[in-house]
Amino acid sequence: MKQLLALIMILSAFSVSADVAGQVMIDQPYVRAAIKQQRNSAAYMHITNQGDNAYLLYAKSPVADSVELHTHIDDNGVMRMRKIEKIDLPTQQAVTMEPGGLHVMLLGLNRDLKTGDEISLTLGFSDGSEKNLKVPVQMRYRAKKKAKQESKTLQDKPKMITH
Amino acid sequence: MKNYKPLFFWIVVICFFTGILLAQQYLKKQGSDLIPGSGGNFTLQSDRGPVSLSDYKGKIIALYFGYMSCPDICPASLWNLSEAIKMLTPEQAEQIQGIFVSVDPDRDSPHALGLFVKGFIDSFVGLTGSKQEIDKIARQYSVVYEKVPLKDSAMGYVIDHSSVIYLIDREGVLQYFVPHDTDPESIRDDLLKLLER
Ligand SMILES: [Cu+2]
Repeated sequence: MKQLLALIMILSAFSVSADVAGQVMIDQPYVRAAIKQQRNSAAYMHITNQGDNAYLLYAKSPVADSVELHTHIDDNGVMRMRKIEKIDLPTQQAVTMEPGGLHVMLLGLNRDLKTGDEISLTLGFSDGSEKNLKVPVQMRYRAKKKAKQESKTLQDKPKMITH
Repeated sequence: MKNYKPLFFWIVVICFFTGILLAQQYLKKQGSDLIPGSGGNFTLQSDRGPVSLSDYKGKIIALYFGYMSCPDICPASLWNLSEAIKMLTPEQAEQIQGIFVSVDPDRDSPHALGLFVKGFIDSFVGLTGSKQEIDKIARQYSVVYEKVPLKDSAMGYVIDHSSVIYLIDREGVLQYFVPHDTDPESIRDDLLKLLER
């Protein structure tokens, strides 16, 4: 009986992890606090794919009218946000979604997102599987440039940006 | 040929610094309003009526250009700035005025901007105006911004923009450009330099 139980457990574990949703690990998800008037916010996280190559195809949440996958391109200091069709999740790799880069964009917020709240977020993967997350609302940001760095003075800036 | 390399280097260096000196002379003569990128005064609308930079003469101004639909770059900049100000003593913090200028007047009303900025620090001011007014100020501060339609996105359009916190001294003179992803400690250090003047 014990052996049968063990077999069932192994089989069920196998069937759970067979789809992409079962093979990805989500670390430190958070969504940025926002007031309704801002209309939008974004969710960030680390996604580690322990299965075969896959990709994140869509996301949805009850707090927003629509949810899209976006990235930011830093074009010589000009930040260009763009919609993307999918986020690649290569096998055995961690993909980082963070401010200024890849993010899950929440568009048309139907309520304020206050620090300490939690929102539901569903991630949809390339094989059609879905993962439901509870994502905490936070106000924090990690500044990218951790190291001490001097801000530029007017005198240090030989060329002005013109358009 | 190799021997000419250092000479060439020094010529470049000398030309560079001569250019800066000339530019400074020019700035002094012409008044800062006239030179693109040199900053200067302007007036825009807040939730409590028109606001001019010159209203805050005697204070240090931290000025940022962005838009409210921006999911992280703009709020992150304001957050880093507000964290920097919170590291100061209350007396020092009182002498700093944070100003957010929206380059998206079609979507961002002065009222909504007021709500947005007060979420960071209560004294922050949110401003916007007509496209013509904003374009003129963008030239003054060398702000690059461009409305870009986003195909198949519920956003409709985004605004690509340069992301810099401009630190302006008590006399209204632009002193520092702070890149948007600068950590709060570095911003605080820049604010302290201006406070000590
Ligand atoms: Cu986005």
